[in-house]
Amino acid sequence: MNLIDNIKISIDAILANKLRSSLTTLGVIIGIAAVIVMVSLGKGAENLIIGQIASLGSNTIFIEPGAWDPKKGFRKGEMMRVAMEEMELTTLKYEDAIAIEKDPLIEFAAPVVFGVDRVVYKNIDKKVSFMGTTPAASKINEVSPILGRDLTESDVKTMAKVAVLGFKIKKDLFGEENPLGKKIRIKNISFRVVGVMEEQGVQAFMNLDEIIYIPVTTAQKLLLGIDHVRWILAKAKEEKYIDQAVENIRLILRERHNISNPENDLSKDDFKVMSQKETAKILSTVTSVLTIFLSLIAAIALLVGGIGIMNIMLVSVTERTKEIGLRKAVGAKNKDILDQFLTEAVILTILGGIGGIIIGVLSSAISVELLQYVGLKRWKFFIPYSIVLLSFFICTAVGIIFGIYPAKKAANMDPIKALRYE
Amino acid sequence: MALIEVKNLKKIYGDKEIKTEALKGVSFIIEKGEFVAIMGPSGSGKSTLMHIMGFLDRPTSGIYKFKGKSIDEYTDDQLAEIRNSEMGFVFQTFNLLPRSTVYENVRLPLIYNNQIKRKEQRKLILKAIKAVGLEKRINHFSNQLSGGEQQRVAIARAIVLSPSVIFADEPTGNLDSKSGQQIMEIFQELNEKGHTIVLVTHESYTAKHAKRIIQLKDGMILSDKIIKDRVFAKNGVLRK
Repeated sequence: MNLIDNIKISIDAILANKLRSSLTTLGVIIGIAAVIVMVSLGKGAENLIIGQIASLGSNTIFIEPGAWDPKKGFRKGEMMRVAMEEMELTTLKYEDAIAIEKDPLIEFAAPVVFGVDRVVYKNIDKKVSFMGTTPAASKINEVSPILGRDLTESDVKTMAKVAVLGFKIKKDLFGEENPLGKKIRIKNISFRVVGVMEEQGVQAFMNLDEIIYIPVTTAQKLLLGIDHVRWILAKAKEEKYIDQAVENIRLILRERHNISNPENDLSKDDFKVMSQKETAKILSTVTSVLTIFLSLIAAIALLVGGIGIMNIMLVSVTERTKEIGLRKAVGAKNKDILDQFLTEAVILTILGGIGGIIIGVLSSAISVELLQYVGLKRWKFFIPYSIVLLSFFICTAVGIIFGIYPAKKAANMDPIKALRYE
Repeated sequence: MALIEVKNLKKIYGDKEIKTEALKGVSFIIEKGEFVAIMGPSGSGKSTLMHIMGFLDRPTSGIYKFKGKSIDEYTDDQLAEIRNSEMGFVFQTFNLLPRSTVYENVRLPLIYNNQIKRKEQRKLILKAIKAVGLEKRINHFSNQLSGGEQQRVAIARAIVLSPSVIFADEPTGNLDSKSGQQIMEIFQELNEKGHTIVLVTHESYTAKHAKRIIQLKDGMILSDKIIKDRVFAKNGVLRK
């Protein structure tokens, strides 16, 4: 008996009970759709994160206050609390950034402070984020103003009350109007607009187009009343020396912060130095935990789907007992009957798989649309081909695993009993 | 060499406590080209005998040789192969595939036979359908046919591979007398053309269409004789 006959018989049998067949495959459809959505969104998130990391440049180094504790922050519900605690740490200073920048392996180092306050222009009153930094920040991010100029060293030195607007802020406050030279008020302090940044999009989960950039010194003294910085962004001169650069920064900061730590025990420091490599590593553990969790859900859905297939195949075998008897009488061997019912189960699951792939792809596309709508503009729709292939493989496997028992039952029927079955 | 040789054949159903002896030792020989009716009331063992002769079941003891070779020498898969190419079955309840055309039904034995090429298959199927006079119904679905037509499809299916013997189990049992007569006419024609036919029935009138009657009762042969007053189905005329 050849495969084409087998497939034809199976499809006939499936079409004879359209409703039953579609309800049966529902479990597989849901399972495969879950797999597709999970992988699509997982990959999308990963690409977004990788994209953001790449947009920062692979030789970017990130320095934060607070000791390195790999266990901390990854326990349930602690992420937020740790972040809040770190916000209050005052150990990193503007001068630290200057000292880091002097290291021969470092090209730039930009201290960053961060705040949220009201900005007023004419009758527009808006709550915005502002970032106090130095010209180095734009150089690290490799962006430049599309209008006017960037912050300068002298702005920082003189604590100038000047502001460079993010691309979207400019639109929100000024519309089509030329903002250069205009005065805006942040926390009731007047700032002169000197430039508008090019469009940058989301980076490290901040929309850089919705930020006002001011000199770090001005932000510290006039707006925040602090003398520490939230973090320091640095860029190594060459990617191959990045590990050495990270070490150099640690030594510089230990010396400046009077920390004796010859054994290089990171938990003794009052700061963390991370290159993109390490950031990527942390993010990938988060995404892999998520993937495992979602895979488990998909596996359960497929198990339930498989049991549904087995159930309906048993019904089908019983219903067609007489047909099995006839086929055996005209010369079908046990293996022919086994193949026939196994093929039917596999076709059922593959049809379910195709349905699942279609629904999964559509759901992923809709989810991405929604994510983009809520602001994650750089979240791209992505379905790896491998997952489509894998889905077919999983379907076939589910069909064989859950179809083998009913098929064996059919194959081992006694032809006479089967022929007499009413 | 006889086509079918049965010697002291016994079949016992059930386990040690409740034993049913369906066949208590029957012996006979059927030569090629014969038309034999196996007759008897229900429970006489005639169906059991046909199942064993048709390689659908194995005897408990005794000898059954088909074309000189004992059933014991074959594996189940080999039995299936012989059923496919050497034997044709016609059942009381027709047993056609639902949702399938006449053509597809007649083709059924061919899908389990890999000796015959696709081109040849079509020829054989058309020939078999022509032999039962259903050329005009070739693409009709089996449920669109009358009972008599359905049984003719079943006969076409039985002869498509030109088997050495056709086993017909109460082939007219579910038909009105006119359709039944047509079916018997086809069997007689097939026998004229050289087909060996074993007909199982409980009706003596139907049995008289054969050339020889083996009468069974309680698993034993009551009589085995040539029919003197044979019935010819063609035009319903009795001929000697």
